[in-house]
Amino acid sequence: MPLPTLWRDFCTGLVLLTLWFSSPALAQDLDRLMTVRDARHLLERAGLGAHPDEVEALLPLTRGEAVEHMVAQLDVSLTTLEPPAALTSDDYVAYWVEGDMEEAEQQTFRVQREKEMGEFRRWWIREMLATSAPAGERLLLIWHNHFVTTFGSLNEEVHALYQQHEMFREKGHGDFRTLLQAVVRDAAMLNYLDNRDSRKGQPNENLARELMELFVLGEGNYTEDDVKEVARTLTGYSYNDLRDFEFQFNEWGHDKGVKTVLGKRGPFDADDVIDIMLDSGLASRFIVSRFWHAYISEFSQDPQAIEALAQKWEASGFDVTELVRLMLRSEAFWAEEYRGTIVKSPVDLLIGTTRSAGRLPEWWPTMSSRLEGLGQHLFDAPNVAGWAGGADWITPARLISRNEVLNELADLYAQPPAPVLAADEGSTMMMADDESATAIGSGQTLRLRYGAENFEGPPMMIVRAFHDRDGERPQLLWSSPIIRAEGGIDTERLGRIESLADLNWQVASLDVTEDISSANRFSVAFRNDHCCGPGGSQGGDRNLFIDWLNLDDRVYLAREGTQRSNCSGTDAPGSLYCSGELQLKTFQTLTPDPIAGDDTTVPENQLAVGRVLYSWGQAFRGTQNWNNFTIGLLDVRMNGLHYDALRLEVVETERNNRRELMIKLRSTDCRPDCFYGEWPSTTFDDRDRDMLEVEYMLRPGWDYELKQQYAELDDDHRLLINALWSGVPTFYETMKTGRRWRRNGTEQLGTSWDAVIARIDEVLPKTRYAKGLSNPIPLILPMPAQSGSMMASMMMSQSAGSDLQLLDRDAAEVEWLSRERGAAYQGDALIDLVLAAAPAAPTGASPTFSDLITDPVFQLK
Amino acid sequence: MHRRTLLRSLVAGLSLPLAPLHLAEAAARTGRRLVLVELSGANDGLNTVVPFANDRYRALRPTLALDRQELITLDDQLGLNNAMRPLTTAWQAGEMAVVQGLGYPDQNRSHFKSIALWETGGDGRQGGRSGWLTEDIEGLDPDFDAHGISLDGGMGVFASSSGVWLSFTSLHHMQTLSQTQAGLGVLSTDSANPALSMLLDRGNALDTAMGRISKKINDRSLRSFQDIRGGDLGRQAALAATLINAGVDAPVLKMKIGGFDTHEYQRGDHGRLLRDLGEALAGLRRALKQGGQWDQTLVLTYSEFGRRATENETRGTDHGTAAPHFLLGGKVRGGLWGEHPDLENLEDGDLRFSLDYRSVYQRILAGWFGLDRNRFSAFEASSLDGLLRA
Repeated sequence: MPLPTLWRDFCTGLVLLTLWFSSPALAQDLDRLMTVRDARHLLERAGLGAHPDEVEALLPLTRGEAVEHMVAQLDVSLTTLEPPAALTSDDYVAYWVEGDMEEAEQQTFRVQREKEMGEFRRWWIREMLATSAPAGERLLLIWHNHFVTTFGSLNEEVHALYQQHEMFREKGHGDFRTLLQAVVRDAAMLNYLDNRDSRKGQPNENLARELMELFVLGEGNYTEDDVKEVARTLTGYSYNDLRDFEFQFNEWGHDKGVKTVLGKRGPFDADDVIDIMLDSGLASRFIVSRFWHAYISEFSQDPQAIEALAQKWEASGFDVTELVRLMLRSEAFWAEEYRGTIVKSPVDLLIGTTRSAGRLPEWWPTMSSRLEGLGQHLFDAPNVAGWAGGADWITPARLISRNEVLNELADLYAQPPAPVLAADEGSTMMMADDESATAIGSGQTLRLRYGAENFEGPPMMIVRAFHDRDGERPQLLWSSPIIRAEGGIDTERLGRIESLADLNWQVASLDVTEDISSANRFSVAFRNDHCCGPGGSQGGDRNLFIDWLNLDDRVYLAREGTQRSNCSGTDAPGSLYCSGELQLKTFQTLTPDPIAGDDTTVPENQLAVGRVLYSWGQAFRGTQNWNNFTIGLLDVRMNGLHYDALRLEVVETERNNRRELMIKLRSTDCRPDCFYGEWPSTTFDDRDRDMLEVEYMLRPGWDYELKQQYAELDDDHRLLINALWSGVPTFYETMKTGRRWRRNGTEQLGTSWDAVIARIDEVLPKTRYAKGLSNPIPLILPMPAQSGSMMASMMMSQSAGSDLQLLDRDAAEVEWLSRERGAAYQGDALIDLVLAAAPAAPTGASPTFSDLITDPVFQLK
Repeated sequence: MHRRTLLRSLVAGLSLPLAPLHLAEAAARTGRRLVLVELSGANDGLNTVVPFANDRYRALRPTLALDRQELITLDDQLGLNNAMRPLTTAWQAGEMAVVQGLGYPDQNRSHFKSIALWETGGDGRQGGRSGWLTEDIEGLDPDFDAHGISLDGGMGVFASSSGVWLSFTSLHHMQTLSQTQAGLGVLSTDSANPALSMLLDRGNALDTAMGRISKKINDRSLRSFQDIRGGDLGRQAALAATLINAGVDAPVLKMKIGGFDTHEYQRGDHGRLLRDLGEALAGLRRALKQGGQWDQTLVLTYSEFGRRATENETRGTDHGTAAPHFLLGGKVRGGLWGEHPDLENLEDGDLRFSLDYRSVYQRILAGWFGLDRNRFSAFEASSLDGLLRA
C-alpha cells in the first residue's frame, strides 16, 4: 500500500516539534501505535469525518502523538476562506436607527440582514468542509452548542452574532475564565438572554440563570436565590449598537450592593461571580461532563473518571486546550466500551461524510437547508439548551431523513466523480466562479443575482435589455437564452424557505455580444411557475427570487423595480411566486470612494447630515433639576470630518444658581471617535463607565474645564461643535417627522421643549457658535452613495468560497473512492476506515463505501 | 443479495398502492384521542384570561392591562383576550373549559427544565423520567397504528424507551413515512452498544407503524387536506385533522406554537400568538366535526409556566408561575374551572398556583382514557368533577 510518505513525515515532524506536557498515567496505552480504527475514531470524534489521507497521517504515530496532532489544530482564529465581506467591511450598518425606519425601509433592512446571515452560515459550512484544522472547528461547534445564541431571537443583529463567532475562534481554545468574561460581555449573548436593559431594581434573570445552569455549574448546583443575586451582579452589562456592538457597562444601572452568591458575600460584579463559580469545584465537573458528551459518550458517563478529569483540568487552571487534551488522552476516550456511542450530528453526517469521501455533492451550496432538515439549523438551535444530541437526532422523522440523505450520498459515491468542468448545455451562461467575473465594469458581462425554490424542477428565466423611447415602441436590444436556475432548494424534499436568507443565492454571468450601451430598462421573466405539492405550497412550490442585476458600474436593485405577476398579492419586487416579469429601470452607480464624491456636494464650512432622528428624552419641566433629550444623527459631514453616527444630548439644568442650556457629547455616542482620538485635556473621564464626556454651554461664563474643552479643539472640530449647536433647532424640527418620534417622542416630550428651542433659536446668532459657518442651518442630505460601497462588497462576497477545496487541497488529490488508492481499502480494512463497529446489516465479502454508509452503524461514531 | 438492493426492494414493496379503506369505516374504529398543544416560551396567563374587574390587575400591569373592550366576557370578573375570538363559538357551545391557576410546587423557571416537568409529570422537587402518559398509553391497547404522533418535531412529552412515538412535521414527511421504511427493521436489536440498540429499536418500531399507516394514507386522504388559519400552528392542526379523518389511530397528537417568551414589548406579539392559537384550534374543531371525530377528541394546552404578575421595565413580563389552560372537545363540559389565583396574595410578585397541573392529567387518564389507576391518582381534585362528560 503506497502511503504518501512525504505527508506522513511532515506530520511526524510537526508532532515532534510540538511541545506538550503529559501526565504519566496511561502512558502505556498512549504509547500504542495508531491503527486505522483508532485514527478514524480520533478524527471523527475530535475532528470532522475521517479522510484516508488524515487517517494515514496518523498511522505512524502513537495515540499520544496523534492526540497532539489534533490538539495543535485548536486555534482556528485564521480561516481558510475569507468571511463574507458584508460582515467584515467598514460599511456602517445603523441597527440603532431601525426604530426610526418606516415599515418598508425596515423590511428592506431586515431582508438585507437575513441575506447576510445566509452568507454567514454558508461561509462556516464551507470552512468546515475546507479546513485542514477540523479539531478547531469541532471545538467551535461545541461552544456554539454550549453558549447558544440564536439568530432568530436577535432582531437581525447578524453583525453581533458574527462577532461572537469570531470571539469563539479567538478565545475558544484558551483560558475558560477569559472565555466566560468575554461571553458575559458579548452583545449577541446580552441581547439573546435579555440582559441589555437589566438594571438595578429591575434585574432580568435570564443570563444569570443560564450562566449557572448551562454555561458553568449545571442544574442543581445553585439555588433560586443565587439566580436572583447573580442577576444583580449582571445589571448594567449592556452593549452599544451605535458603535459596532461594543460592550457597554452602564454604571448608573449597575447594582453595587452586597450580594450573596454560592455562600460568598461581597459587592460582586460578573467577573467576581465567574471566579466564585470556577472556585466552587462544581464548574470543572460540569464542563468535563459536557465535553464527555461531545467527545466520549452520549449514552453513559463514568462519574469517577469525570471527577478525575475535572481535578486535572482544574489543576491546569481551566485551560481549554488542556481540557481537550485531557479528554482525548483519557482511558475512556480509547476504551472499547465507548466506541460508537455518540450519534452523529447532522454536521457529522453531511460535512463529516463529505470530507471522508473526499468528494463534494453537487448540492453542497444548499447544505445549510439540509442540516436544518435534519434538525441542526446552524445559529438557530431550538432553545438556549442547544441541540440535545443522542436520541434526539434519531427521532423517527429524522431517522427517515437521515436515511434518505445517506442513500443519496451512497448513490453519488457509487458513481465515478463528475468531470471538473461541466459545460452548461446550450446557454452562454456560466457561474461566477473565476476571479475575472468579479471585476466590476469589465465590459459586456451582465450579472444577475438570484435564488430559486425548486419543485419538480428549477425555475427558468429570460433576461432582456430594452431601450425605452418617449412616445415610441420600446426597442428590444438583447435577449438572453433561457437560463435554468442553479442551486435551488428542493421544496418538496426540504420544505419552503423561511426567509430569503435560506436561499442559495447564485450569480449568473451572461456574455452579451450585442451593443446594449443604450439600454435603459431590463426585464427578468419567470415563465414556468409550478405548484403545488400536497397540502398546498408548503408541500412544494417553484419560485424565483431576484436580488440585483449588474452591467458595467450600474446596479439595478430588484427591490427598486416594478413587477407584474399572476399572483394576486403585492409581493416585494424581486420575489416571483408566480409567473411574471420584473422590470428594472432605476440603478445605483458603484463608486469606488463615496466619501470623496460627497465633498463636491457639501460647501466648505457647511454641516451636512444624512438623517436626523429622535433618540430618547423626557418632557421639559421647569421645576426639574435636569431636563434632556437626545438627537441621533447619521452621516455627519463637514469639511474633512465624517461620522457614520453621532448622538447629541441637549440638556437644560441648573449650574451655579443659573438655568443653563448645553449640548453634551460622549465617547459612546460617536462612530468613529468624536474627536478622532484627541480629546481636550479637561474632558470629563468617567472611568467607571469607560466613557469620555464634554459639554458646551449656550451662554458664556464658563469655568476653566469647559473653556478648555472648547479652546483645545482643532479648527475643524471647533467648527463642528459650532455647527452642531447651530443645528439644534433644525434637528429638533426634523426629528419630529420621523417614525421614532411618532411612536415614542410625542408621548415622551410632546410640545414641552418647543419654547426652549424657540429661545435657543433666538439666542444662537449672538453666540460664538454662529461664527465661522457658511450657513448655520445644516443640510439634511441623505447619502445614497454609501449603499454603493456596501453593494460592491456584497458583490465581491459572491466569489468567496466558490473555489472551495475539500480539506484545503485539490479535488483530484482528495478524491479517492474511484481511484487506485481506494483499492487499498478492501473488506475489513474498509470497514475499519468507515465504521465505528462491525456492520449491523449483513455485507457481502467486499462491501463498498456506499454499502457501509447506509449501514445503521454509520450513524454512530 | 446486496444490502442496498435489499433496502430498495423493501421500499418498493411498500409503496405499491394499497386498497384505500373507506373513510367512515376507518373512523369508526378510531378511539379517543388527546391533542396536546404546547404554548412554548411560557404564556402570560394574566393577559390571556384577564381579571378585568380587579383593580389590582391594572396596578400590576400599568401599560399591559387590557380594557374590557379588548376582551370576550367570560363572567363578571374574567374576560378572554379577544385575540382568541375564533374560539367564541366553542365557548358558547360549552365545549371549551378554562382551568385556572395551574402550577406545581417549587417552580422551576428555566424554560427547558420546566417544560420537561410538564412533559414528564414532575415538579420542582422531582423530575419525571418518561412522558407523563407514555407508559399508560402503551399499556392501553396493543392495536394502535402508533402511540403518538408529534406534528412539531418535539418528542419530549413522548420520551419513552418503548412504544411507537412518531414525529413528522409536514405532509411530505407523512408521505415519505407512509411510503418508505427506516430500512433498519430487518435487523436484530440485540446489541451491547446502547446507541446502536436504540437506533435499531426505533427503526423496527418505525417499520411496523409505517406498514399500518401506509394503508390509510393515500391520495384520497391527502386530497381531503384543508388549510386551517393560524400560521404554523394552523398547518399542524390541518395535518392533525387530515390524519384523524383518514382514520389513523393514534391516541396522542402533539402540536406546538412558539414565541410566548415575551420579555419585551409583549402586547402586539402576544395578541398575534393568541390569534394563531384561536384560529388553529377553531379550525381543528371545525374539521373534526366534519369528520365526525370531535366527540372522540380532547384538546389540552400547556406551557412551561405563567409569567410574573408585575410587568417589567420593557413592557414585557418575566418568567413566573401559575397560568390557566384550555380543554376543548365534544365531551368537554365548558366553563371556568378552578380558582383564579389571588392577586392580593402574591408570593414575591408571583401568582400562587391554585391547582396542581397533574390534577388535570389525572382527569384525562382516568376520565378520558379510562385508566382509573394511573401515576397521578394522588392528584385527584374534586374541583374538576364533571369536567369531562361521559
